[in-house]
Order: sequence, then C-alpha cells, then structure tokens
Amino acid sequence: MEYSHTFNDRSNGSILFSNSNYKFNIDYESQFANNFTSGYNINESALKVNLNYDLNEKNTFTYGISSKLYMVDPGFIEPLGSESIVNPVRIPEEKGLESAVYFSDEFKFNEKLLFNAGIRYSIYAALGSGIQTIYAEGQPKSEASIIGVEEYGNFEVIETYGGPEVRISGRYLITPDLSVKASYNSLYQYIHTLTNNTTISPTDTYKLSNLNIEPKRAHHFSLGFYRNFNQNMYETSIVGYFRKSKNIIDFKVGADLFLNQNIERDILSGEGRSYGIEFLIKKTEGKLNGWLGYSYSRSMLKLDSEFEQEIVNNGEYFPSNFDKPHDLSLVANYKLTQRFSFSANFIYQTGRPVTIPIGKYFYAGSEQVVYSDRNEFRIPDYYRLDLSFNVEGNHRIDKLAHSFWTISVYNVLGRNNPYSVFFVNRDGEIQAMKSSIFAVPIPTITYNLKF
Amino acid sequence: MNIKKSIIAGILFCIVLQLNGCVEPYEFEEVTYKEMLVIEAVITDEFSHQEINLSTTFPLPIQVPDPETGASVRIVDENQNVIVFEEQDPGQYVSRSEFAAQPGKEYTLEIVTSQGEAYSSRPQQLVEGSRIDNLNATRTKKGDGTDGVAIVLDSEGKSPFYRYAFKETFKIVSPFAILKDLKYITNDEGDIVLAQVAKTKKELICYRTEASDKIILSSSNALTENRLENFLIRFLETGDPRISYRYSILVKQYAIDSEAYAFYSTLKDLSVSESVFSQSQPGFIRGNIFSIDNPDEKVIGFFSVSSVASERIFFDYLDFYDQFYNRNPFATNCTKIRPSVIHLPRYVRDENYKFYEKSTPPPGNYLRKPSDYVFVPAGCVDCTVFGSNVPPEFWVDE
Repeated sequence: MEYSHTFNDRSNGSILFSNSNYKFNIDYESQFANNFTSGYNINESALKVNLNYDLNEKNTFTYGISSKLYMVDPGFIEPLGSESIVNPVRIPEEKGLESAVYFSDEFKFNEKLLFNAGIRYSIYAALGSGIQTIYAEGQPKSEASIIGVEEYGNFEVIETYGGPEVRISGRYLITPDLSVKASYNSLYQYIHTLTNNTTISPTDTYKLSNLNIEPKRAHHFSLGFYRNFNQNMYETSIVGYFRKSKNIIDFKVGADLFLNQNIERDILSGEGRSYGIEFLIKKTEGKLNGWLGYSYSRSMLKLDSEFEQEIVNNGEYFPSNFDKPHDLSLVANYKLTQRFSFSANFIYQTGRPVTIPIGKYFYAGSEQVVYSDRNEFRIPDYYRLDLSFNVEGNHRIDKLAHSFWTISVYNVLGRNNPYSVFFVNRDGEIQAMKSSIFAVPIPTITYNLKF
Repeated sequence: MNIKKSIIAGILFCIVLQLNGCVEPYEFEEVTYKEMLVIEAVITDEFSHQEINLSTTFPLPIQVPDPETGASVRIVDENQNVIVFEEQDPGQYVSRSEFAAQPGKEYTLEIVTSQGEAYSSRPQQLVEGSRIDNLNATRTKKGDGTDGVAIVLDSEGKSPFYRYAFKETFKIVSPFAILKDLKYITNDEGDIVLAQVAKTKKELICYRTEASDKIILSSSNALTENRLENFLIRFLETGDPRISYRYSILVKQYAIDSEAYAFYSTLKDLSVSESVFSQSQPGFIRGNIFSIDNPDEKVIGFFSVSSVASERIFFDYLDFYDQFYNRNPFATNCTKIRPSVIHLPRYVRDENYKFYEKSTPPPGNYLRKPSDYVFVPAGCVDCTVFGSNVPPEFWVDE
C-alpha cells in the first residue's frame, strides 16, 4: 500500500507499507511409519517514508526512514497420517527489526555527467522471545563450550548491530548513444541465506542475525558500458562487477541440515568473493525482437578458521552453492502477422556445485564414506528450450475484453535437467541419484483474457 | 486512474505426459578415484603392546577393506625416544615392546609407507581421564517404548570428552542338543555305509565376541560439570539372542581432547544412514596427520593419546526376565528338513546341514520316497557356526 503526496513543486513524499510472506512445505510419504510434513515460513512487514526535495536545478535530495520487521518460523515437523510415529518438533520463532535512515543527493554536474551519492545508516535489533545460548570465547561453538543460556521476553532486544552504508554512482554520456556507469555500494545484510544442495529436495532457509550470528558486510563495485544502435532499435551493454563480503555463513562438515535447533554450532562464518561480466543485446523493434544475454560470473567462498576442525577445503576459496559460471539466455519473438506470432526461449546454465562420495574406508569398526572437497564437482548443466505460438483475437476496439490463445511446448528438447543430485545407501553400496522435474516436453494451451 | 488488469487463464488445458518428477541413477563421469591413506592410531596409558592400523580407501563399488602393508611406523616422544611398531597382520602394526603413554609428554606419530611417502602427526599429549565409577545393566524402556536391557555408565570428571568402545561376549546354546553326526563310513567289510557317529567336538555351548561398530561419544560442559550419569552405552532389545543365556560386556572409556571429539563426532554425523531425516553436510573430515612432502594431501584418520579406563560386567537372562518366551536362540531358521532318498547323500555331505534325528516318515503323499533322516541347518545343532566352543579366559559362570 502506498500513499503519495506532493507538498509543493519542489518536494513530494510517500509512505509505503508492505507485507510479504514466503513459506515452503515438504511432505514425505512412504510405506514406513515415517510420514511427515515439515515447513518453514518467513514474514516481512515493512514501513517506509520517502521524501524528495529539489534543491536546485542540479541537486535533488532523496531522504527518509524505513523499518522492516522480520518474523521467521525456522522449521517444524509433524507426523502425517495416523500411523506415523514421528515426534512433532518446532524450532522457536525468531524476530528481528531492521531500521534505517537515509539521505542521497542526485547531482547533475552537466548534461553529460550525473552523480548519485547517498548514505544510509541501518540498525538491526534481534528480538525475543527466545532463548540464546552463550558459548565460551576462544573455542569453536559446540555443546561442550556452552557456558550459559539467556532467556528473552517477547520483543525484548537480544543484540543490536548497525553501521553506515555508502552508495556512490555516476553516469557519463560519452555520446548520446554511448554511456558509461560506475558504482560503489557498501552494505550490511542482517538476514542470511542457508542453502543445502545435498538432499533430494534442496531448500533455502533464511536465518536472522542474533547473539551468535553477525550480519554480513559487503562491498560492491560495478562498471558498465551501454551503447544503442540504429536509433535505439538495438540496445547493448557490457557490465562487470566485483563484490567482497564478510560473515557469510555456511554449514560445517557434518552439520545437521534439517531442522537444526542450534544452528550456530553447525555454521561457519566465511569470506566471499564474487565477480562477473554480462553481455546483453536487445532488439526492441521490428518483426523480430527479443534479447540475448550471456554472463560469466563466479561466486566463491572461503571458510578458514584458527580451529582445525572448522577449516573447509584447506581454507581456500571454493565455488559457493550459487556459483554459476555460464548463464546464457535468449528470448526471441517473431510477429508473423497482426494476429500470429512465434516466440522462443532458450536457457543454458552451468550445473550447480555439489560434494560427492569418492570412496570408502574402514574406521572405528565399520565402513565409512570419504567425500570430495566441498563443491568440487558439478551436477549436469541446465538447458531448456520453450517454443510457443500466439493467436490474437480480432482487434475490434469496442470489444469488452481482448482474448488470445497461446499454444506452447515447455522443454522442447525433453532434457531431464537435474533438480538435485543426492546419494542413497543401498545395502552398503553408495549410489548417486538424480531427480528432475518436468523431464519431458510439456505442451500447453492457454486462453487469456485481458480487460 | 487507470486500472489495468490482466486476467490470464479462464480456461487452462494442460496436457501433461508425465507430471511426477522422476528420479534415476546417475554416474559422475569426471571422477578419477584417488587412493588415500587411512590411519587409526589410539595410544593409551595402559601398559601393553599398543596397536596402530593402516589401510587405504577403496572405490565405492568394492566392499573389501584394503590394508596398507610394509610401512614403517614409529612414535617419537619429545626426548627423541623412539617406539617402533612391527607389522603383525596386514595393516596391523603392534609396538615391539610394551609401553604406556605418560602424562605431560608429547608424542608424534611418524609413518613412512612402502612407497617412501612420509607422514607425521602433530604432537599429542596424553588426555587424562577418570575411572568408570559404575557400569550397570538394567531392564528398561527406551523413549520410543522399546523394552530391553540397557548398559549404562557413571563416570566423574576430569575430561569433558570421552569416546567409548566395547566388546560384548555372549553365550550361545544350540537349540537342539544332538549327540551324533550322520556320516558315510567304511565298515569292517569295507563297504561305505551311512552311520551315526559320536561327535568329535563340542557343539552345544559356544561363546561369541563382537566389537562395537558405532561411535559412542560423550561431552559435557560448564553447566554439567563433566559428570556422566546413566550414560547409555548399549541397548539390547528384549528378544535379542545375545542376552538369551549369559552376556558380558567390556567397556573401554577413552579420554579425548576437543579436536579428537570433533573428528569422531563429524565422522559419526556422516556415517551412512538410511533415514531421510538425517541429512548432514558432507565434506572431507580433517584429521591431525599430514604428509610431509605434500601438506595438502588428504590423509584420513586421527592420532590420539588417551587415558583409558575399562570395566567388565556379566549378567544372565534370568536376572531380568522370568519368562522364556522372549528367549530367542542365535540360530534363527531351524526348519526341519526330511530329504528324499535320492537327495539324502547331498544333505549328508553338506556342511550347512546337520543330522537331527532318525525317524519313520509320517504317512502322506510325497513327491519322492522320503528317507528316514531329518536334518536342520547346521547352526541349529552346532554353535561353532557362530562362535567358539572354548570359553574366553575372562569368562566366569556364576
């Protein structure tokens, strides 16, 4: 919901209120008494007051305050069906409040050069109710290093973090068709993503910073060149970026990935380094239009520690769960006549990194599995082609509603793109399994109405 | 204000050939198998011949462990005293002389393989621990309602981390006490005949020893003051044939430091399990032994110097049960088989079957003429199929 108001010809403002909810559920059914349903939920409510003020021809100020309340239900599991003997477990809810004040200036140096500089100060408060465990300093966090527990009431402040965030960007028009943009951002991120890519159903969960988990800090640089050809019929761009982050969290070796009640014991804080370059060509006019984009990007993570047991991959940078070096996408539309058109959509992405078993050995009286380095291998590349054919209804102006048909085939090539690769133990033999969704071409017919 | 709404799909026809996600086996092509050295080395303060095991990893499809033979294994203390280990069995290296680890000294493990690759551990000190105060067996129900006998332990302090290993020995009694074997012998006339002969070995009462195959760890922190009470070591369900007669368990308590604890607990977390629930982050488990020539080489295993305490208890079936309906024999399938006359010689010669009795076949329709002899699977008569008929030297019958 947004309410805008213009104060005078120099200033205006708006108040924005929003609420969003994201959740996922996993239902498991088999012939054993292990059927369960589990889920995760995150709710965000945000309030933002934004004001704009034109100081003079050259400067426009934008400033305001914002506040966001996070409420996370980190996970629950319940028995599914009357025969299930699963014990219900619910991980206590987490709450956090992120507030910020910001100020930025858009400075028009001249017709060609435009700057935007801003500063934002954000404060995050981890809120109760909840129980936080206190661990001894100078030791890895584990059950053995617990020295106390602290209980917090509802909305009681557990810990605060905060700091300034700076943004500087500039755009220079070399010619009316060619421009260059550069920017630098520093930012804090108080909500962390934890991904797991080893189970049959890879999921992302979000974890709020709290007493034991610090927020993520990042510095982001980008530089891009933009060129239009043929009176803006073709838009092209080359953009590169580099980002350095601290306090990225990821799981320790052996960490419990599912419904972990004490996640701070099972995660490590690392440094991240990501960079990339993206090429884009867009054709906006003509019978044939669409765009082609290719990007090469790397996302690397380093988990090093003074404690031997916390070091992952010898403390060197390795591909993170999101590392996707090659990403190509092509969208093309061809308008045959006023009423008939074709479109095609092609995507190619490098497969996600994965850690796999590479051998077995005998230890402590039984057979054990030895795994590769974290994310040393990749699942197969993802590519997919979708084709569709559109038939528009007649173009009478006085019609009540405009209708059109679309006949399309999703995944024309029928590729069984792996959704995840995981391992099962079959009578002592380790077997890799690949799960894919929509592994065959799927034809669809859609009837659309537009009012 | 112009509200534009786009409503899509009043009617949506989806012709779907296969909506379910499909799961199929997958082979990783680019994986070249590299062998890694596995070192299992635990030195204790018990004055004895200490043992170190060396092996290598083996590829996934193969199920046989691979011992590492011909290596030179030694432990060097901070005063450069060397304790030499000699290979007794493939991959098993035993100290030439008996010794006990001393507190306050640093011990380093040094290995040179038969290929000349050198490995060294980081120096380790003896982790001090305490005795086992109490080792008890009690009849109890587990949290999920399973009934059985629990072996529990009380131990006080000194080390916050312990690792436990046990060896259980139990008495096996054959379900059928048969005095004779059925064999083909040459009689006085020189003919080969079928006869019942007295058994040459004892087959009724045997003893079997099994070692623990799961990693058992305990940890305590400032809140629990390093005290363990009623810590569960082993749970034997009611009906487990191991406790059907007389059972004994030897529990060893190894005091370990936090690095060793982290190693073993990560190993335990990654132990292959069937459950869909327990998903653990896989990865390589770092130990404390490194290659001298190539420090980045992956070496599996941990060298720890532990103070060890051990305790043994015995108990009988009748200590906890007064009904025999829960008493199961170790031999499970004892179906009696009466072979036909044609198949009889096959059964007499088959080691997997033992003579049960000679009896007239009951009247009935038989496909082939039945013989007068009944057999059962060998384990139902001969307990040496499962164990040894010689009681271990520590065994006491009460």
